[in-house]
Amino acid sequence: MWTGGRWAPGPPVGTIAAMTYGVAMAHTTLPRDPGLELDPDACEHLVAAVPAGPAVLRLRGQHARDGRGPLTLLEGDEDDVLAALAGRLARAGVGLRLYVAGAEGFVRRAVRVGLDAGLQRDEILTEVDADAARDVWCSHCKAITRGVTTTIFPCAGCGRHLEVFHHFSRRHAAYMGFQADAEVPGELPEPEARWA
Amino acid sequence: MGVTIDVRVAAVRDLGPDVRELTLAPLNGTPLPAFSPGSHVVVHVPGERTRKNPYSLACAPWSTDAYRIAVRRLDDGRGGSRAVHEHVREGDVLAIEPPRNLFAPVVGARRHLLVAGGIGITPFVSYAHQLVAAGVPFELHHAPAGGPLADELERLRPDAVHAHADRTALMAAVEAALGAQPLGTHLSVCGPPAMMEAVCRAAKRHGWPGSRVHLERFVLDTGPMDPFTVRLARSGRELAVGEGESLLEALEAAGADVPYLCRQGICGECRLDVLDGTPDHRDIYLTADERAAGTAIMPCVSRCAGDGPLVLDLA
Repeated sequence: MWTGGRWAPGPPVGTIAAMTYGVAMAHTTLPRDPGLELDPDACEHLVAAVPAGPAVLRLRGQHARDGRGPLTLLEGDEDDVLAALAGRLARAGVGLRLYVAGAEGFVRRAVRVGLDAGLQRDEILTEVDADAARDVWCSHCKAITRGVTTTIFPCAGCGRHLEVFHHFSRRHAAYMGFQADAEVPGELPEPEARWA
Repeated sequence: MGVTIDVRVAAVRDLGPDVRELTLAPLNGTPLPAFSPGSHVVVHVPGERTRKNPYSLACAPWSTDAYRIAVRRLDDGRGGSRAVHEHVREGDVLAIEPPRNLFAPVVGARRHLLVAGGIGITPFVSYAHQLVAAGVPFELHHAPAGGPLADELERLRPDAVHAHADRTALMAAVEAALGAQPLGTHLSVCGPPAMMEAVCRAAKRHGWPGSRVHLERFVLDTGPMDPFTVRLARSGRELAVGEGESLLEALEAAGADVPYLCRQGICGECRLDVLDGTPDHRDIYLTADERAAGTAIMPCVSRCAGDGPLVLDLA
């Protein structure tokens, strides 16, 4: 917690290399997932899920009970779903809500497609109900490593050992990674399995 | 509070039976500040008691050689608009406060749907100039046809400005427009309270989230302005707030330095702590819980329930 001049001793919630720091999650850029709850005010419901799982099942049940307007589900191969999503949003009007579920990486990429199409963040409802592995952008070589499950991992682009930061880029749809042993090369904290 | 700019009333023009336009030019040729679309200025209207009334700037945002405001005469209002109509003449010098904005267009909106009722068209003059210059698509629906400033807006973008005969025709057109806007459109509304509520209800019916709906309120139903007493706890002073005088005006007359912005119960800037007495809340800023607690008041519009005294944490 920043209190205007010094870091207040808050409960440690993460590490930068070997250093413990206190940061309230509310002050980070990490994505928040409100859950796939039907918005009864919407006139049209567009659902994109890769893979379609329990969240979509629940949403369809809610729509059958309380839904106004049509519900369309896009599922299948990720690239096909993202292309179909962009195409539908280009023709859509205000009143639509986008619901995105499935694997973490897909959810972030689909949200980016939604924002690019002009949706507001509160018109997109998200839930990760499958693989939680993250995509991480290397701040050294700019490559994105997909499917990261541990707090420290080797970058697919440059091989540096990167630490996953509490920082998310909506543009890259990826978390930020920074060289974990930048201070003392070779001195690496123990990786923790976090997003398996 | 703060800085004022002296301006000369360079022109007075009647835009209809009850709307008067003032052109306000700088005294010594120093350019006026440029402003963002939707901005207003607080005008110090001279009279028996100086009124500080906010008026939207009804000109292009880059009009630094002169501002224009359009003032609708409200005989049951607080007297500021009546004073403008009765007392302000060409050549007069008025003090205004620099432009402020509580109704800026959303940056990044891909399209704007603008809805105006009556004198509520004023903030959309600066919007229209800006949107035309920036090439951002918009459509403006307003009523009644032939109202003030409509001809100027129609000349600016004839295909985007739609006049409607009355409220019913306006609402029918707005309903149709709300159902046909591409993603990325934002709705901005300025007009009488009942008309704004009707537009909000229609927007909700068409699935518009609150984050896409932006309102500029210009008439608050303030109700009767009966006199009451206020006590300033830190000095023990007692002041009389007169009939038709706002609590903020009474505090200013007594030399209390209360910060303010909108003077309409919207922005929250003038909030004061109440130590005793029952506020009569007339703002739209405080939450329901804060109103019920009765420990805060917006002195620009709110008053005291009964004769008072209302005890404020002021010197």
